Amino acid sequence: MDTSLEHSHEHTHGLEPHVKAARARAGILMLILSDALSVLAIFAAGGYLSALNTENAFKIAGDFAPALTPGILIAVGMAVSGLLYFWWERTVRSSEGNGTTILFVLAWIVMLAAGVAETWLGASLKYGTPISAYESMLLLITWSTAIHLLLTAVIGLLVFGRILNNRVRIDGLTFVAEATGYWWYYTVIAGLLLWAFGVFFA
Amino acid sequence: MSSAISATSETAVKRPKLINLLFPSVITGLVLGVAGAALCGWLVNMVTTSISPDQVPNDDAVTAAVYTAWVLFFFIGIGAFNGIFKWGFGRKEPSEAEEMQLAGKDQGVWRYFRYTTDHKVVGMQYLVTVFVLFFLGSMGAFMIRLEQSVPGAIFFNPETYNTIVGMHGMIMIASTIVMVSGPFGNFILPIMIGARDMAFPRLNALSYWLLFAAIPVFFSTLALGGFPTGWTGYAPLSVQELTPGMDAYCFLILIFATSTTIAAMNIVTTVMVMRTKGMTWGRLPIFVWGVVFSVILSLTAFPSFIVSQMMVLMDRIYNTSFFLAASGGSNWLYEHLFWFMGHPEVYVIALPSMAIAAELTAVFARKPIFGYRLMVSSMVGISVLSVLVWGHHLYTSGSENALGGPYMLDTELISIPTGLFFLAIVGTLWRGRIWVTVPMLFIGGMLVNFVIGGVTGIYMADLPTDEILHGGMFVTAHFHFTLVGAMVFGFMAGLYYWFPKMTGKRLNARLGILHFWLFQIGFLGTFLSLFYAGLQGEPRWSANVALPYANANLVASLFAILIAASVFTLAYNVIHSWLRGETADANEWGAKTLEWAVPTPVPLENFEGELPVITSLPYNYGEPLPDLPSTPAPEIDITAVVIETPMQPQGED
Repeated sequence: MDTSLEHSHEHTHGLEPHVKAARARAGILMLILSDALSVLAIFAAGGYLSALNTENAFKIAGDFAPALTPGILIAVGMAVSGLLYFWWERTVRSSEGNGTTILFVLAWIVMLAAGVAETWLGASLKYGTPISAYESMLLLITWSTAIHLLLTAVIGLLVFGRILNNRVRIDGLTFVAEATGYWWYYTVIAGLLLWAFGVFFA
Repeated sequence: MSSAISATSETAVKRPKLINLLFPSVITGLVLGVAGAALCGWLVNMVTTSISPDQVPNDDAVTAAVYTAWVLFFFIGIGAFNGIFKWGFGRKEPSEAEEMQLAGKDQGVWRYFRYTTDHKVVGMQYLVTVFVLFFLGSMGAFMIRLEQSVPGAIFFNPETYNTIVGMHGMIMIASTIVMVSGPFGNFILPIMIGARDMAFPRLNALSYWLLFAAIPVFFSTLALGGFPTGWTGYAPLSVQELTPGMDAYCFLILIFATSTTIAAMNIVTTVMVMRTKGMTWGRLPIFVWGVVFSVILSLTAFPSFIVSQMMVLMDRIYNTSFFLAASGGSNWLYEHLFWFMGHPEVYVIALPSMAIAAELTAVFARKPIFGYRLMVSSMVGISVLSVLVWGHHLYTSGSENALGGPYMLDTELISIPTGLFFLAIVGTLWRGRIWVTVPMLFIGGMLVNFVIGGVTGIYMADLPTDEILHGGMFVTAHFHFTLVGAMVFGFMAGLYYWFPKMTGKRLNARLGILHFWLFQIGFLGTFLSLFYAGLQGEPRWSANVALPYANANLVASLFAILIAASVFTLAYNVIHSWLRGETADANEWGAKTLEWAVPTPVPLENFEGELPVITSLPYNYGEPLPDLPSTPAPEIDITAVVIETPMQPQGED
């Protein structure tokens, strides 16, 4: 019943750096847990409605999924953004500083582009009303992915601000890049899973 | 740290005082929030009218825009985004002086009306909000009982009655979810674990102000036609219901669930990383365990609720069909998503109240907690099982009939860890020299009421009896016994116990005793009568009482007058004691947890000087304090006890 964090964590001005790092990691992981459960709820809802197929009306003739090519491009974009972020994070760790900023900028631009593209995809789905349960699920998946990607782009903008002000490293530690990375990778994985779920549905 | 606090030159407020007071604050938040909501509502009204073939605005889209803008602009106005902006674009980390100013240093009472990060301020904000909500919810309950006192309509038409019942349910559920983890989880818990603040002070303020922002959304339903679905918001009625009041309900849930989720991640992180030296997992006060398990459950349960309300909003605004059978949707989907939150939510409410009872029993029996590890294990068992039992709410829905047996089994299994927990409380009381205080009276009442609520719950868990009792007054009486008779009583025990530490004033004990007996007698009379009405066959959702159930309802309504009297007694006691009550001692009850080792009022950073080092559980009461029954315990230096007493095998008794 002992942990490495049970210590006096006072510092001259606030918490010790490794406590700040542990706090950031734990907070992000809690956020991811909560959000992952909402994504899981979407999967469960889709699977449940599909299995029930109430009145044989879950998916009816004329229902259509978003075009595959834009979806593939967005999925590739998400994966590339995740890899670029991972690469940047490695350079941050190795250089104990800002790392290779261009990698982060590229990761951020690709993430933003994916978010904008997903939003366009959602907005361009001209489903006739009432929208069937199948198309309702696709709308939910599309908008959920778009919100995740855009939120991550906003977080990326804040991190970019820190890079510009040379504040990625705090008290000798680079946990800002690491903790943000947890969310970044999670967004990519959740986005890919949601896309795969949508494709599976189609 | 303390030297930094005393550096007044660094912490001095430099801006002109009036501007400093008004911006950012709740006033600017309200002004900007209302202005932003009006502007966005107008814009969306224009846009939806122009794109509609019939030139008719989409009322649901307008309502959604108004509420989204309200929350966004309120938070801009109150300054919630300032910290985020500085985190990203500030040139340096916030200085000690800036942190102290954000924590409300030298701002007097006004700090309660700002985006203040000090956990004690947030705790007090929660406490006052819970009081107000409880009071309003109670008034709703009395209106219900008044309407149901005799057969036939008295004051309300069925629509108004439905709205009052729905609002009463929603207020009470929301209040009970935050009643312990809000006030005590914020004010007391960080001190209990030896921390100077929560892990994320800004998120702490955010969680409270989100709750605050949800309140006007909730009451706006009155102006928007109410929500006749009741607190469960069942689809497809919630989708087919034309009044925008239903949109308000969905937004209320979204805002409230977000607030609760943020509070939960903050509390869990705080306990994980902010414990002082020696405060191992095995030495955490039992109250901390209760709050942690409760908020972990809310982290787990609320996401499905959020998704369900997003689906309802999409159905209402975009004409999607998640819950409409004609287009391939299903009402069962809503019921599953709702009750996956709804049943664990009972334990979100229960666990911290049960932990309060365990914590206080040790203090007032002057004994170590009996079975510390048993209690923690029980809470683990309850937490795990509670997310597996939601299906029993769907016994009579026709969904998943084949799973009735498994759901029945795991619902009944949950009574084992719950029973063990209460058995451990009784074990703590056993052969203790019990100091009968007001908190202890409420714990006694809680034990009695929980037995009744628990035993009647078995009939709800068993499919054959539930088929008969489902949808009747028996259910209403059962869940009031568990949620009010047990959990609210636990909250009351905590209130009388920690009020002196939180406000520096002692609640009047005579009024407290009067409050308890009025509440307990009134509660038993009211809800035992409703058990009888339920056994007679009275349905829950009926605005007018039918003749066969008239006597039971009249008795229930008469006893409800005592509950009303108890509410007013409590309100008077709190207000009078807070304003003119006796000054409390730093260690009012001679307790050994850390919150009683710090001065009252609690300093800004809780501990003056170094943080304490913990070497044992805080329940090493060697012997009863002398002359306890009639007078409050004298102040004793428990810091030394906590710090220097060698660890004892508390968990092995």
